[in-house]
Amino acid sequence: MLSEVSVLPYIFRRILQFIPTFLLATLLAFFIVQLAPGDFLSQLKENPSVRPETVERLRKEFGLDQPIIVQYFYWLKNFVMGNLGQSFQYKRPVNEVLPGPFMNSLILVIIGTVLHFAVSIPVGVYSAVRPYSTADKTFTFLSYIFLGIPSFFFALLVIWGMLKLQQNFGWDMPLGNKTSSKLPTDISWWRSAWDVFIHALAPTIILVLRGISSESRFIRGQLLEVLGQDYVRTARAKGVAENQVVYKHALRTALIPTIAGLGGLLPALIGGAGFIEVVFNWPGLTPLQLTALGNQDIYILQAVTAVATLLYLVGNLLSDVLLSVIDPRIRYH
Amino acid sequence: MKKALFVAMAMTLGSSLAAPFVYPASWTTNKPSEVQTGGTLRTVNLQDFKTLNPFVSSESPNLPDSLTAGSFLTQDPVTDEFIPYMAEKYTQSADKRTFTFTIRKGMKWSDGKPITADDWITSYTIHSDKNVGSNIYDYMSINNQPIKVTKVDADTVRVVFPKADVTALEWVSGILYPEPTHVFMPVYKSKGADGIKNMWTISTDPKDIVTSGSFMLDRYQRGERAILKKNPYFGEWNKDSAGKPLPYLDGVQINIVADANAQLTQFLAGNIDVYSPGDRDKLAQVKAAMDAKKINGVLIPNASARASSDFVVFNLDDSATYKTKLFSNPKFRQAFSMIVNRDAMVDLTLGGLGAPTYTGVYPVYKDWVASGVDKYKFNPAGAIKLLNELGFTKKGPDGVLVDKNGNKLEFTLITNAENTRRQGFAKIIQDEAKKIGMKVNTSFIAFNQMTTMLDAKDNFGRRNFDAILIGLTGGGKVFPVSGPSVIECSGLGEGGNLHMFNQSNKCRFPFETQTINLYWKGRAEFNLAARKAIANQMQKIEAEQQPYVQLAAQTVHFAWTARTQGELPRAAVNSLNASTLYGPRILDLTWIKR
Amino acid sequence: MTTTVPTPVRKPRSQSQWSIVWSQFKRNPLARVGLGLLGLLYLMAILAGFLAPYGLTEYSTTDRISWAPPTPIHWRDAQGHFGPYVNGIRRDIDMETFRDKYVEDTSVTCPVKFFQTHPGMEGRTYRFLGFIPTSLKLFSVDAPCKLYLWGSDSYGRDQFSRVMYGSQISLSIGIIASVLTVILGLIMGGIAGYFRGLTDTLIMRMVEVLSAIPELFLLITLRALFPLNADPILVFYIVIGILAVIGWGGLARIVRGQILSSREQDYVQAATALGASDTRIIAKHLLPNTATYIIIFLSLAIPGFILSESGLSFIGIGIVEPYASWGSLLKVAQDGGFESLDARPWTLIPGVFIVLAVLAWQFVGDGLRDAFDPRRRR
Repeated sequence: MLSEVSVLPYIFRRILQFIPTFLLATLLAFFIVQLAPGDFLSQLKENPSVRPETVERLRKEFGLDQPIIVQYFYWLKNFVMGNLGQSFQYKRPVNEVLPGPFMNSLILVIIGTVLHFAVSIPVGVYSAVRPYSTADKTFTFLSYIFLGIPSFFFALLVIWGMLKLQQNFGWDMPLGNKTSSKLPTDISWWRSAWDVFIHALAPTIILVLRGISSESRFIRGQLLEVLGQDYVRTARAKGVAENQVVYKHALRTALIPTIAGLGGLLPALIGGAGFIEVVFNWPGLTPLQLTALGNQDIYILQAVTAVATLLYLVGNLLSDVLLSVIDPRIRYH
Repeated sequence: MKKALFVAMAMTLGSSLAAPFVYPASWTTNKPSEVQTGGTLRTVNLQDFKTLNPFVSSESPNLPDSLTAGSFLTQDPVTDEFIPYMAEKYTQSADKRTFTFTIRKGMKWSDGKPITADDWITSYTIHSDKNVGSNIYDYMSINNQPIKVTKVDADTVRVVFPKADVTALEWVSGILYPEPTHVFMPVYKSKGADGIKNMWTISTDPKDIVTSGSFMLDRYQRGERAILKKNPYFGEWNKDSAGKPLPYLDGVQINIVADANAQLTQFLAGNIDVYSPGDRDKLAQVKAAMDAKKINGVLIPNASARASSDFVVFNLDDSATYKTKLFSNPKFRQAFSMIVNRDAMVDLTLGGLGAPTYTGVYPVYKDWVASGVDKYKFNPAGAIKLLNELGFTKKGPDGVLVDKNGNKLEFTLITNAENTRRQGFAKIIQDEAKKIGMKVNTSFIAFNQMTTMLDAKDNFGRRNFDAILIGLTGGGKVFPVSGPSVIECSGLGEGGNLHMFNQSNKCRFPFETQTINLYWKGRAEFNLAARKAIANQMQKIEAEQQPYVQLAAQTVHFAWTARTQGELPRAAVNSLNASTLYGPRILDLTWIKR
Repeated sequence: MTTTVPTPVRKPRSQSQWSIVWSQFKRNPLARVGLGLLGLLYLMAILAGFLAPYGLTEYSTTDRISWAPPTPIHWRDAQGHFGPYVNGIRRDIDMETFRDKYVEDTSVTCPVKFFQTHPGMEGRTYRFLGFIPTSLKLFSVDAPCKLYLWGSDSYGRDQFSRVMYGSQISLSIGIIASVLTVILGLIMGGIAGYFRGLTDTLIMRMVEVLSAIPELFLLITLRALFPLNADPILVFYIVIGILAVIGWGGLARIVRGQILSSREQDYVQAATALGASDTRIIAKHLLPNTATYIIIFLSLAIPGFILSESGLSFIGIGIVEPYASWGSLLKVAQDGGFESLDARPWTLIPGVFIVLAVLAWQFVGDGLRDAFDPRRRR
């Protein structure tokens, strides 16, 4: 099982392996965003009274007159020293701009991850223990439907439904935004935390519905398979209680692939939160990224890529370590 | 830069000492006796505010503008006259170049310090510093000659323009605002431009933000909302027509809602008070909700035309290639204008809520749009005739017209992918052109990419596009025909100007020079009728030469909840007087009914 | 993608095992429904030109129609004759509600005609089954009447026709993109697994890089790099290409794993000893092992790509005019927001087709997976 002696060098080695990936990913991102014609200053054109010298001066000021590779290494050097560069739009360091949207996205991702497992595991287990029951068939039907609807469109339907409820029944619905505009500014922290949670609920549910649908199906399949295996039959034959068979022995084995998939979940949710954040007006990373893309605010884009890449590492590491906890056969190598 | 016109204003009462500015009763539909004070106005903005610093702010709308009172003069939204506001009175020299302003007494910053002549000088000094990178740096000179702002004494400021200019009054009311000397000057003196640029970011403690306007920042929740509270000192020198201190409101909440459909949701859910439906679908939703009594409010559909244009511009850099030679021929552009089915654009793309346009003067300036400029309106037969004259007499096997050298009548029309309206226009152009044998390929790209294509190339080489569908916005009420950056054809820099059809840095056509001469003549013409005559001449040239083929203009709509009161009288409700954030009303005179 | 993919099955299968798989598949009712549905949908795509009464981009700028509701079909006319016919329609913009108002003009009646050709009508000629040029339509009405079975869009283009033509793009985009993904994944995974060493490290780093960079960012920026005056149909292929380029990593990793484990097997060692070339070993011995896995991967990746395409249309980088896909048609509804739901619900029909296609592929994919898995046989 786990011991610090084996974990730490392993983690260290993984981090070392990750460095080239990180460099390549950020370099690639830097290049393709710069390859597109135009730069942040192009939009000044919209303003009839900005003179060419002004544009040239700003171009120098932001270092946009340097070759791309020079700009990249400049960025990298700053990144290593904890400086993410300057946002052109905000005229502020990215270090200041990024944390807010990042935390907001993280709220969705954390609630989403909890929801993902809190729903898909019970549903999957229930369906596996009572296969082809009415409940199982209902779950199957629902999960197929949720798999089929494009999530951004589903979001529109949900908001529309919530609006109709509010208009017709006078129920106060958390319709988009992160917090309610009706609350006074001086409320207790738990009240405002609850407010954020309520507003996060609808986008989160839509965000993870597809995941839950496939995950619960998957767990059902896995569990059915494990339950049919010899050692489980033996346990049953020996008179081990059915609950214990399912939860202690079978589920543990069945969950291994699920946990292996956890690593991809973090970055996938950050990326996937995209459309939903826009439709629900959630001030997360995607709206930031979209405006940065529109304005070619390179350092914001770079920072988001860097963060996503780091998350990918953390996610993968996490699932590897978890896997070794749950399955002693898996060793670090 | 018309923002200041609605922020706060003045009247020429004989000046007694420390006389407050009294808001004319004609600026609101309500009598002072009806007004209830207190309450919060909830409004909405499409993007996160990026800064509180008036010297680096470049977005529109922005917070510094919402927090500033204005300047020496203000333009009456009802009569369009300029009246003294932060100046008690002013004089203009005989050559019309020099203005001397006597500052109103008793004006205070939100921290209680007095507003003095120095505050204008501070603002002028810092905005004029190239290294600060202010958005209005380019406004500090006209035709490369600087405007000079000097302090005469503690109460007097002098502004000297390089030439007599009709837009001077717009400049002194809407461009240069005073900024607190006691906040900015010590930093500017010790740390220079860089020090200024790092001040008043969006995360600066609101207590440190000093404003002249009716509101000050209470707090900013990034990505969610800005909360403004009443500036207690503003009421000392701003009164309503009954002498009550302004503003009436206790606070303003500006919610950040980045998606147009999400904004509609917020209004339909009753979470915001003022809203401007951006297209017919949203207008119909608001109307249906009001009819069904789901929301209780007021809707003014089709209040006026929009203060912006949409047009197609061709690449006329030179006549070196077959295509640029063709584009450079006015007959081709006239023919093109005749295949633009503007009525179909209004009907199908704008849902019937708009009007065709034929000149660059935005249709909201009703008095300025010349008549008889629609000579080249939709007329496919006329277009074919002109194209025949250009040598396009027969069609190839693919149905595209060719001339005797075998050149196909084919080009690419580009517009920005973010704008569904422009894409709709491009589509109708494409389909109508196809019917007469002109092949128009459309391409939708990011706005930034599109403007880069319009920019001049190194050494003014030929730009690489055929035609672009884009629009312009902005401009004052005094001489709303065009701007120097749009019409100057020589002495250009590489990029940064809007002479979109010709970036060769040479005036290639006589009409370009004619237009420039007329424009500067108009800027120096103080007689309104004569100025309008000049504007008419300019539009006649534009209509004949079609350097920009104008398409159609949408109308604007305003909606607000029933609790929101104090809007402008209906006659003054139009796109020029409405603020993006607050709608057709003066914020200081707005109140909430309970 | 969140489709579940099974652990690969090891043994290569003989011919008889394919028939076992097929009989297993047939026993699964959901899989049968899925297959039937797919058959119908793809038949619809093949016959799109014949089924669609109008051309893809046919509309009038003189007789302007916008957001017309589905045209009512009448069966018994004033004289008592029986047979389908439609009335002419008149459009007004209601300046009270700001919606289009359509009234039937009962003085104009046009019978619905079947199997008519429309020679010389712009956009109505198509190639039947891909090679016979014809303008034969299953049903149509003559001018001045319009037959909008499922209403029209803002230009007055027939949504039924556009859904039919859109099916060609939506249904093929999934297949082409998945096949491309599989090819890329096979080649890259095959090379990495077979050659190992530096090549392996490089390819696997590439996989990591592609999965680490946010997808949205890659899609938007890559799309911006392509030529502006590109033909819209070229843009369609570009979109497919981008999807495949982003998607091959997962498969390559699995294929590599498979090959790494099977290359140690005796028969591969034997082939190497007999002097078989690398290509031959990869193609003949190593890749077939992954066949079952790939079939299942394909059937589950296709619905994922169909959804991705609609997501691309949502952010405005999918199929462009004049072409249509179900995703771009659904975007029309999305753009209209609540107004689409309240005033013109027929614009949601393309969404139904997306759901149906994804469901059907999902049923088939799950059915295949179960059929291939000996432990799940019934």
